[in-house]
Amino acid sequence: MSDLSGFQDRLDIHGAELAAWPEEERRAAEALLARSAEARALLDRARHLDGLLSALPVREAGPDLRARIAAIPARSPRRQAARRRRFVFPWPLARWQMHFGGGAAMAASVLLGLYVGAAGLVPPLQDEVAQEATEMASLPYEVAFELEEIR
Amino acid sequence: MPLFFRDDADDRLLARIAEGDEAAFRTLMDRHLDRAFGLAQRILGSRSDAEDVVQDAFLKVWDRAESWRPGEAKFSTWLWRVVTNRCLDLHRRPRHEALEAVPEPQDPAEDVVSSIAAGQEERRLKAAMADLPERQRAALALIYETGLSNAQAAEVLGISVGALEQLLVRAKRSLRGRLQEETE
Repeated sequence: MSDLSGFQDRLDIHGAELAAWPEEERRAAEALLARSAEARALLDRARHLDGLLSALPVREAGPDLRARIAAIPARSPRRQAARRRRFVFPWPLARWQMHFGGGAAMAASVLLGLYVGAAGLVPPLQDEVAQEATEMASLPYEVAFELEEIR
Repeated sequence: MPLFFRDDADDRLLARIAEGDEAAFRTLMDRHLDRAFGLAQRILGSRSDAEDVVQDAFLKVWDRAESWRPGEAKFSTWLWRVVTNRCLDLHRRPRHEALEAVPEPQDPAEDVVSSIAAGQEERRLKAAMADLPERQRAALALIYETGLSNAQAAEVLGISVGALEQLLVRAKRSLRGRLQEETE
Protein backbone atom coordinates (compact mmCIF):
# COMPACT_ATOMS: atom_id res chain seq x y z
CA MET A 1 0.00 0.00 0.00
CA SER A 2 2.15 2.78 -1.29
CA ASP A 3 0.03 5.82 -0.51
CA LEU A 4 -3.38 7.10 0.40
CA SER A 5 -4.50 7.27 -3.22
CA GLY A 6 -3.66 3.62 -3.70
CA PHE A 7 -5.45 2.79 -0.45
CA GLN A 8 -8.55 4.63 -1.66
CA ASP A 9 -8.53 2.63 -4.88
CA ARG A 10 -8.26 -0.64 -2.97
CA LEU A 11 -11.17 0.44 -0.77
CA ASP A 12 -13.24 1.11 -3.87
CA ILE A 13 -12.28 -2.23 -5.39
CA HIS A 14 -12.55 -4.54 -2.40
CA GLY A 15 -14.93 -2.60 -0.17
CA ALA A 16 -14.42 -1.39 3.37
CA GLU A 17 -14.52 -4.83 4.98
CA LEU A 18 -10.80 -5.50 5.28
CA ALA A 19 -11.34 -9.14 6.22
CA ALA A 20 -12.52 -9.73 2.64
CA TRP A 21 -9.34 -8.32 1.09
CA PRO A 22 -6.55 -10.46 -0.32
CA GLU A 23 -4.18 -11.31 2.52
CA GLU A 24 -1.17 -9.34 1.33
CA GLU A 25 -3.18 -6.21 0.62
CA ARG A 26 -4.97 -6.49 3.94
CA ARG A 27 -1.69 -6.60 5.86
CA ALA A 28 -0.39 -3.55 4.00
CA ALA A 29 -3.66 -1.72 4.64
CA GLU A 30 -3.54 -2.49 8.35
CA ALA A 31 0.00 -1.16 8.55
CA LEU A 32 -1.07 2.05 6.82
CA LEU A 33 -4.10 2.43 9.06
CA ALA A 34 -1.95 2.03 12.16
CA ARG A 35 0.15 5.06 11.26
CA SER A 36 -2.19 7.32 9.27
CA ALA A 37 -5.21 9.19 10.59
CA GLU A 38 -6.05 10.15 7.00
CA ALA A 39 -6.19 6.49 6.04
CA ARG A 40 -8.53 5.82 8.94
CA ALA A 41 -10.75 8.66 7.74
CA LEU A 42 -10.83 7.16 4.23
CA LEU A 43 -11.84 3.81 5.72
CA ASP A 44 -14.67 5.46 7.66
CA ARG A 45 -15.94 7.18 4.52
CA ALA A 46 -15.72 3.94 2.55
CA ARG A 47 -17.71 2.11 5.24
CA HIS A 48 -20.35 4.82 5.08
CA LEU A 49 -20.64 4.61 1.27
CA ASP A 50 -20.73 0.81 1.34
CA GLY A 51 -23.49 0.98 3.93
CA LEU A 52 -25.52 3.36 1.79
CA LEU A 53 -25.08 1.24 -1.32
CA SER A 54 -26.01 -1.96 0.47
CA ALA A 55 -29.06 -0.40 2.09
CA LEU A 56 -30.54 1.20 -1.01
CA PRO A 57 -34.06 -0.18 -1.10
CA VAL A 58 -35.49 -1.77 -4.20
CA ARG A 59 -39.06 -2.88 -4.52
CA GLU A 60 -39.80 -6.55 -4.77
CA ALA A 61 -41.39 -7.82 -7.94
CA GLY A 62 -45.09 -7.09 -7.79
CA PRO A 63 -47.95 -9.56 -8.21
CA ASP A 64 -48.67 -8.32 -11.74
CA LEU A 65 -45.16 -9.13 -12.91
CA ARG A 66 -45.29 -12.52 -11.18
CA ALA A 67 -48.56 -13.28 -12.92
CA ARG A 68 -47.23 -12.24 -16.31
CA ILE A 69 -44.16 -14.42 -15.97
CA ALA A 70 -46.13 -17.35 -14.59
CA ALA A 71 -48.34 -17.12 -17.68
CA ILE A 72 -45.41 -17.39 -20.09
CA PRO A 73 -45.71 -21.18 -20.60
CA ALA A 74 -49.39 -20.89 -21.48
CA ARG A 75 -48.89 -17.93 -23.79
CA SER A 76 -45.60 -18.94 -25.39
CA PRO A 77 -45.48 -22.41 -26.85
CA ARG A 78 -41.86 -23.45 -26.83
CA ARG A 79 -40.09 -22.36 -29.97
CA GLN A 80 -38.95 -25.12 -32.23
CA ALA A 81 -36.17 -23.21 -33.94
CA ALA A 82 -33.52 -24.01 -31.38
CA ARG A 83 -34.35 -27.70 -31.55
CA ARG A 84 -34.13 -27.68 -35.34
CA ARG A 85 -30.78 -25.95 -35.26
CA ARG A 86 -29.29 -28.28 -32.70
CA PHE A 87 -26.77 -30.54 -34.30
CA VAL A 88 -24.86 -33.04 -32.20
CA PHE A 89 -21.24 -33.22 -33.25
CA PRO A 90 -19.31 -36.41 -32.60
CA TRP A 91 -17.14 -36.00 -29.50
CA PRO A 92 -13.92 -34.53 -30.49
CA LEU A 93 -15.58 -32.35 -33.13
CA ALA A 94 -18.03 -31.09 -30.51
CA ARG A 95 -15.19 -29.82 -28.30
CA TRP A 96 -13.52 -28.30 -31.34
CA GLN A 97 -16.76 -26.69 -32.43
CA MET A 98 -17.37 -25.19 -28.97
CA HIS A 99 -13.93 -23.64 -28.85
CA PHE A 100 -13.68 -22.35 -32.36
CA GLY A 101 -17.35 -22.06 -33.30
CA GLY A 102 -18.46 -20.55 -36.56
CA GLY A 103 -15.10 -19.14 -37.56
CA ALA A 104 -13.50 -22.54 -37.78
CA ALA A 105 -16.48 -23.96 -39.61
CA MET A 106 -16.35 -21.09 -42.05
CA ALA A 107 -12.65 -21.70 -42.63
CA ALA A 108 -13.30 -25.41 -43.09
CA SER A 109 -16.06 -24.62 -45.58
CA VAL A 110 -13.74 -22.32 -47.51
CA LEU A 111 -10.95 -24.91 -47.57
CA LEU A 112 -13.37 -27.58 -48.68
CA GLY A 113 -14.64 -25.31 -51.43
CA LEU A 114 -11.11 -24.53 -52.60
CA TYR A 115 -10.25 -28.21 -52.63
CA VAL A 116 -13.38 -29.12 -54.53
CA GLY A 117 -12.80 -26.32 -56.99
CA ALA A 118 -9.10 -27.04 -57.48
CA ALA A 119 -9.64 -30.75 -57.90
CA GLY A 120 -12.46 -30.18 -60.33
CA LEU A 121 -14.50 -32.77 -58.49
CA VAL A 122 -17.93 -31.28 -59.07
CA PRO A 123 -17.76 -28.90 -62.00
CA PRO A 124 -21.38 -28.71 -63.12
CA LEU A 125 -22.95 -27.95 -59.71
CA GLN A 126 -21.19 -24.80 -58.69
CA ASP A 127 -24.35 -22.90 -57.75
CA GLU A 128 -25.62 -25.72 -55.59
CA VAL A 129 -22.25 -26.13 -53.90
CA ALA A 130 -22.08 -22.43 -53.18
CA GLN A 131 -25.59 -22.44 -51.74
CA GLU A 132 -24.87 -25.42 -49.52
CA ALA A 133 -21.56 -23.97 -48.35
CA THR A 134 -23.33 -20.78 -47.36
CA GLU A 135 -25.96 -22.66 -45.38
CA MET A 136 -23.37 -24.85 -43.68
CA ALA A 137 -21.28 -21.83 -42.81
CA SER A 138 -24.22 -20.00 -41.27
CA LEU A 139 -25.39 -22.92 -39.16
CA PRO A 140 -22.49 -23.01 -36.72
CA TYR A 141 -22.77 -19.26 -36.22
CA GLU A 142 -26.29 -19.69 -34.97
CA VAL A 143 -25.38 -22.66 -32.82
CA ALA A 144 -22.34 -20.85 -31.45
CA PHE A 145 -24.50 -17.84 -30.63
CA GLU A 146 -26.83 -19.97 -28.57
CA LEU A 147 -23.98 -21.72 -26.82
CA GLU A 148 -22.43 -18.39 -25.95
CA GLU A 149 -25.64 -17.23 -24.37
CA ILE A 150 -26.27 -20.43 -22.50
CA ARG A 151 -22.75 -20.95 -21.14
CA MET B 1 -14.40 -22.50 -17.94
CA PRO B 2 -17.07 -20.73 -15.88
CA LEU B 3 -16.05 -19.54 -12.45
CA PHE B 4 -19.20 -20.73 -10.78
CA PHE B 5 -20.31 -24.04 -9.49
CA ARG B 6 -23.64 -25.29 -10.69
CA ASP B 7 -26.75 -25.27 -8.57
CA ASP B 8 -28.20 -28.76 -8.69
CA ALA B 9 -31.67 -27.59 -7.70
CA ASP B 10 -31.77 -25.12 -10.57
CA ASP B 11 -30.37 -27.71 -12.97
CA ARG B 12 -33.10 -30.16 -11.99
CA LEU B 13 -35.76 -27.50 -12.43
CA LEU B 14 -34.39 -26.60 -15.85
CA ALA B 15 -34.47 -30.23 -16.89
CA ARG B 16 -38.13 -30.37 -15.93
CA ILE B 17 -38.84 -27.07 -17.69
CA ALA B 18 -37.26 -28.50 -20.82
CA GLU B 19 -39.94 -31.20 -20.64
CA GLY B 20 -42.61 -28.52 -20.45
CA ASP B 21 -43.19 -28.61 -16.69
CA GLU B 22 -44.93 -25.32 -15.89
CA ALA B 23 -44.78 -25.86 -12.12
CA ALA B 24 -41.00 -26.15 -12.34
CA PHE B 25 -40.93 -22.89 -14.26
CA ARG B 26 -42.92 -21.15 -11.52
CA THR B 27 -40.61 -22.59 -8.86
CA LEU B 28 -37.57 -21.32 -10.70
CA MET B 29 -39.25 -17.93 -11.01
CA ASP B 30 -39.93 -17.84 -7.26
CA ARG B 31 -36.29 -18.62 -6.54
CA HIS B 32 -34.81 -15.84 -8.66
CA LEU B 33 -37.41 -13.23 -9.60
CA ASP B 34 -36.93 -10.75 -6.76
CA ARG B 35 -33.17 -10.59 -7.12
CA ALA B 36 -33.34 -10.37 -10.91
CA PHE B 37 -35.87 -7.57 -10.58
CA GLY B 38 -33.74 -5.80 -7.98
CA LEU B 39 -30.72 -6.02 -10.26
CA ALA B 40 -32.62 -4.59 -13.22
CA GLN B 41 -34.16 -1.87 -11.09
CA ARG B 42 -30.78 -0.79 -9.76
CA ILE B 43 -29.29 -0.61 -13.24
CA LEU B 44 -32.23 1.06 -14.96
CA GLY B 45 -33.75 3.07 -12.16
CA SER B 46 -37.14 2.45 -13.69
CA ARG B 47 -39.62 -0.04 -12.35
CA SER B 48 -41.50 -0.48 -15.61
CA ASP B 49 -38.35 -0.97 -17.66
CA ALA B 50 -37.05 -3.41 -15.08
CA GLU B 51 -40.28 -5.39 -15.33
CA ASP B 52 -39.96 -5.60 -19.10
CA VAL B 53 -36.36 -6.76 -18.89
CA VAL B 54 -37.06 -9.43 -16.29
CA GLN B 55 -40.13 -10.72 -18.10
CA ASP B 56 -38.09 -10.97 -21.28
CA ALA B 57 -35.34 -12.84 -19.41
CA PHE B 58 -37.78 -15.42 -18.06
CA LEU B 59 -39.34 -15.82 -21.49
CA LYS B 60 -35.87 -16.70 -22.67
CA VAL B 61 -35.55 -19.23 -19.85
CA TRP B 62 -38.74 -20.94 -21.00
CA ASP B 63 -37.74 -20.85 -24.66
CA ARG B 64 -34.19 -22.05 -24.16
CA ALA B 65 -34.46 -24.54 -21.30
CA GLU B 66 -33.83 -27.38 -23.74
CA SER B 67 -30.43 -25.91 -24.53
CA TRP B 68 -29.30 -25.64 -20.91
CA ARG B 69 -26.14 -27.64 -20.30
CA PRO B 70 -26.06 -28.82 -16.67
CA GLY B 71 -22.73 -28.45 -14.96
CA GLU B 72 -21.28 -25.84 -17.30
CA ALA B 73 -22.54 -22.75 -15.53
CA LYS B 74 -24.60 -21.63 -12.61
CA PHE B 75 -28.11 -20.69 -13.66
CA SER B 76 -28.33 -17.58 -11.49
CA THR B 77 -25.14 -16.21 -12.98
CA TRP B 78 -26.47 -16.84 -16.49
CA LEU B 79 -29.68 -15.05 -15.48
CA TRP B 80 -27.77 -12.04 -14.09
CA ARG B 81 -25.89 -11.89 -17.39
CA VAL B 82 -29.06 -11.93 -19.46
CA VAL B 83 -30.71 -9.30 -17.27
CA THR B 84 -27.63 -7.09 -17.21
CA ASN B 85 -27.15 -7.29 -20.98
CA ARG B 86 -30.81 -6.50 -21.59
CA CYS B 87 -30.55 -3.50 -19.29
CA LEU B 88 -27.44 -2.22 -21.03
CA ASP B 89 -29.09 -2.78 -24.40
CA LEU B 90 -31.89 -0.42 -23.55
CA HIS B 91 -29.48 2.54 -23.80
CA ARG B 92 -31.82 4.73 -21.89
CA ARG B 93 -31.09 7.28 -19.29
CA PRO B 94 -32.69 6.44 -15.96
CA ARG B 95 -35.85 8.17 -14.93
CA HIS B 96 -35.25 10.29 -11.90
CA GLU B 97 -38.90 10.37 -10.98
CA ALA B 98 -38.95 6.58 -10.85
CA LEU B 99 -35.94 6.58 -8.56
CA GLU B 100 -37.56 9.12 -6.32
CA ALA B 101 -40.65 6.95 -6.12
CA VAL B 102 -38.78 4.14 -4.40
CA PRO B 103 -40.02 4.02 -0.81
CA GLU B 104 -37.72 5.12 1.98
CA PRO B 105 -36.51 2.49 4.43
CA GLN B 106 -38.10 2.64 7.84
CA ASP B 107 -35.92 2.41 10.91
CA PRO B 108 -37.93 2.89 14.09
CA ALA B 109 -34.76 3.05 16.18
CA GLU B 110 -33.69 6.33 14.63
CA ASP B 111 -35.05 9.61 15.85
CA VAL B 112 -36.92 11.84 13.49
CA VAL B 113 -34.05 14.21 12.75
CA SER B 114 -31.52 11.51 11.87
CA SER B 115 -34.15 9.69 9.86
CA ILE B 116 -34.76 12.76 7.74
CA ALA B 117 -31.02 13.25 7.27
CA ALA B 118 -30.57 9.62 6.24
CA GLY B 119 -33.44 9.92 3.80
CA GLN B 120 -31.91 13.01 2.23
CA GLU B 121 -28.55 11.29 1.87
CA GLU B 122 -30.18 8.29 0.29
CA ARG B 123 -32.00 10.47 -2.21
CA ARG B 124 -28.74 12.21 -3.08
CA LEU B 125 -27.08 8.85 -3.59
CA LYS B 126 -29.88 7.68 -5.87
CA ALA B 127 -29.64 10.83 -7.94
CA ALA B 128 -25.86 10.46 -8.17
CA MET B 129 -26.20 6.83 -9.21
CA ALA B 130 -28.71 7.78 -11.86
CA ASP B 131 -26.08 9.98 -13.49
CA LEU B 132 -23.41 7.27 -13.60
CA PRO B 133 -22.64 5.59 -16.93
CA GLU B 134 -24.72 2.44 -17.19
CA ARG B 135 -21.81 0.03 -17.02
CA GLN B 136 -20.59 1.61 -13.80
CA ARG B 137 -24.10 1.34 -12.38
CA ALA B 138 -24.28 -2.28 -13.54
CA ALA B 139 -20.99 -3.07 -11.80
CA LEU B 140 -22.26 -1.60 -8.53
CA ALA B 141 -25.59 -3.38 -8.88
CA LEU B 142 -23.94 -6.76 -9.43
CA ILE B 143 -21.74 -6.30 -6.35
CA TYR B 144 -24.27 -4.76 -3.97
CA GLU B 145 -27.54 -6.30 -5.16
CA THR B 146 -26.59 -9.84 -6.12
CA GLY B 147 -23.56 -10.10 -3.84
CA LEU B 148 -21.23 -11.34 -6.54
CA SER B 149 -17.47 -11.15 -6.10
CA ASN B 150 -15.48 -8.88 -8.39
CA ALA B 151 -14.42 -11.87 -10.49
CA GLN B 152 -17.99 -13.11 -10.82
CA ALA B 153 -19.30 -9.65 -11.71
CA ALA B 154 -16.57 -9.30 -14.32
CA GLU B 155 -17.61 -12.59 -15.89
CA VAL B 156 -21.26 -11.53 -15.98
CA LEU B 157 -20.31 -8.29 -17.72
CA GLY B 158 -17.92 -10.09 -20.04
CA ILE B 159 -14.92 -7.99 -19.04
CA SER B 160 -11.65 -8.57 -17.23
CA VAL B 161 -11.40 -8.28 -13.46
CA GLY B 162 -9.14 -5.28 -13.95
CA ALA B 163 -11.75 -3.55 -16.10
CA LEU B 164 -14.42 -4.31 -13.50
CA GLU B 165 -12.21 -2.81 -10.81
CA GLN B 166 -11.79 0.33 -12.89
CA LEU B 167 -15.56 0.62 -13.19
CA LEU B 168 -15.89 0.35 -9.41
CA VAL B 169 -13.17 2.93 -8.75
CA ARG B 170 -14.68 5.42 -11.18
CA ALA B 171 -18.22 4.83 -9.95
CA LYS B 172 -17.38 5.29 -6.28
CA ARG B 173 -15.20 8.29 -7.00
CA SER B 174 -18.11 9.93 -8.80
CA LEU B 175 -20.53 9.08 -6.02
CA ARG B 176 -18.21 10.47 -3.34
CA GLY B 177 -17.73 13.63 -5.36
CA ARG B 178 -21.46 14.15 -5.81
CA LEU B 179 -22.29 13.47 -2.19
CA GLN B 180 -19.51 15.79 -1.08
CA GLU B 181 -20.65 18.59 -3.42
CA GLU B 182 -24.19 18.45 -2.19
CA THR B 183 -23.29 18.56 1.49
CA GLU B 184 -21.13 21.68 1.02
